[in-house]
Amino acid sequence: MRLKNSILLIFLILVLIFFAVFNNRENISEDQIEKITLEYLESLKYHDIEMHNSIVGDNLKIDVEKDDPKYQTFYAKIIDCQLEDIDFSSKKSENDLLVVPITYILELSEDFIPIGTLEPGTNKITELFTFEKDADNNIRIVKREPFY
Amino acid sequence: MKKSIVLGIMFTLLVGIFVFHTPNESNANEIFTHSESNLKKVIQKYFDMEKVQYTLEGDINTLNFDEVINPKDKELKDYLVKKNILMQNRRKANGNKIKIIDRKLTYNDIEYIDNNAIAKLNVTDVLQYSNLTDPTFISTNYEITLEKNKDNKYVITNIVSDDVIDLYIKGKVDIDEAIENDLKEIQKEKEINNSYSKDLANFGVSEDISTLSVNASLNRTNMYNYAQANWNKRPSNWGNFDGMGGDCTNFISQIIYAGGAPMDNTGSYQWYYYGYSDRAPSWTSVRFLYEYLIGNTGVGPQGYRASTNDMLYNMHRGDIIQIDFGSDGTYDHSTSIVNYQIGTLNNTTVAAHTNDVFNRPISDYPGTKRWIVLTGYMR
Repeated sequence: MRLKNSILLIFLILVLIFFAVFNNRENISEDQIEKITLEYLESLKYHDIEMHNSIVGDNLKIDVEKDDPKYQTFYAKIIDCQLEDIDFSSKKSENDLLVVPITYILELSEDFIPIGTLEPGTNKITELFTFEKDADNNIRIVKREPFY
Repeated sequence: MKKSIVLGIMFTLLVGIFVFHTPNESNANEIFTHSESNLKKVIQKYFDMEKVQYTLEGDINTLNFDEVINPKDKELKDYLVKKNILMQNRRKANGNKIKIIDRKLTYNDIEYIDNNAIAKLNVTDVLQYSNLTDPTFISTNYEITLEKNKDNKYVITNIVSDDVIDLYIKGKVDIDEAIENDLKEIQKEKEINNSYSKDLANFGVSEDISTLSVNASLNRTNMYNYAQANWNKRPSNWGNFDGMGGDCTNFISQIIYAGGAPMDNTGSYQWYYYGYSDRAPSWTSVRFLYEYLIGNTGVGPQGYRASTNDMLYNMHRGDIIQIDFGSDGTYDHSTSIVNYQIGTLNNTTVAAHTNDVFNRPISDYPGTKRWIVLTGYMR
């Protein structure tokens, strides 16, 4: 009887371990998206490169040394960045990727020299953001489009 | 005996769970195998289907991306079909038949994330429009996301590109509205073409430019040669503004400069580039370049907004056309004329950056346009 109980217990533990290992990943929630987006916009506003690079994929990371002209010309001129809307009604979810349109207000300093349609002061920008959940359940922004 | 039966059942169950359990597709511990050649085949197939928008062979409304696009991605399929409708409306209205002379896909990177893959590639097309003598070059950068489905086949789940339609319309403007607005623009362009008169062409119609204070002509051949040599390049001495507003107006300023116009760093209107952080707004901004050209009366290039007559009879290589893709009053893009033919807007072709083109008909671009005649420059 004892042996039977022990076997049952081991069996249950194994099943629990199985589900813990293979099914511990949740979908990306709207709250998580909002939190990461706010952190991202805050990192732009305060020029917090460390924070920025910790929440974006390798392709979006800023290298102050390497990207110097781009950083000085554009990123360093951001004085405010406010979230206006996350259009969850248009979100698209695929496995570990989630794509959602985000509208934000980008305020560029008076000494920003206009490029394309971007100008000093308030610029309203709508972009499609792609979020990815990695193996450790960390969420990162891996793509922004269109950003030209 | 009972014990061994219970043990046997449990063991079978346990093995069964491990063997037959189909793990979550996002399973962290699964090793995903990818086949680059299969992935490229799907991408190739997509571009083969997308050719319909050029060749006008087949009915765009029945274009079926089911083979290559994830069936769940209805929105992507809808967008692609509508983007094709937008392009075909223009090409049909202008009677352009297009032959693809060459299409080159160059893969820059393929990144694998679990059972997804992101392919970064450049597609360079060499096209022959039936109404043009010289070929057209279009270079577009793509980021295509694919997923391996249950049948182990790749399907496309997202397409990002620097194609002007994707840049200025996708996610910014309602595409149905863009199609509707553009039909009106096509009609307007048609009316301008219909107003062409041979008599006026022989007589020579142009704006009264006596009030403009130029004392030198632009070297239009140099402008053309510069555009041809650099349409898909980013010369290091002029910087590269891709990814922070776009490189289009920077390129147009370079062409004007190649035509001999001196930089202008004095007065209320200025136009110069000495470096990323030392340049006039007009060098890189769509709006400010327009305001500079029509407002400047001193040193530097000068111009005015073309009338309908100018558009039909009086444009030259190097003159500028700006485009408001959403027809919302904000001009988004600058292009430079490389070929012009009196009497029709359809045969005017342009060069531009982001996305990079050379000798592309302006009639190919959706949206409202403003044409700018460059009258010359003052030394």
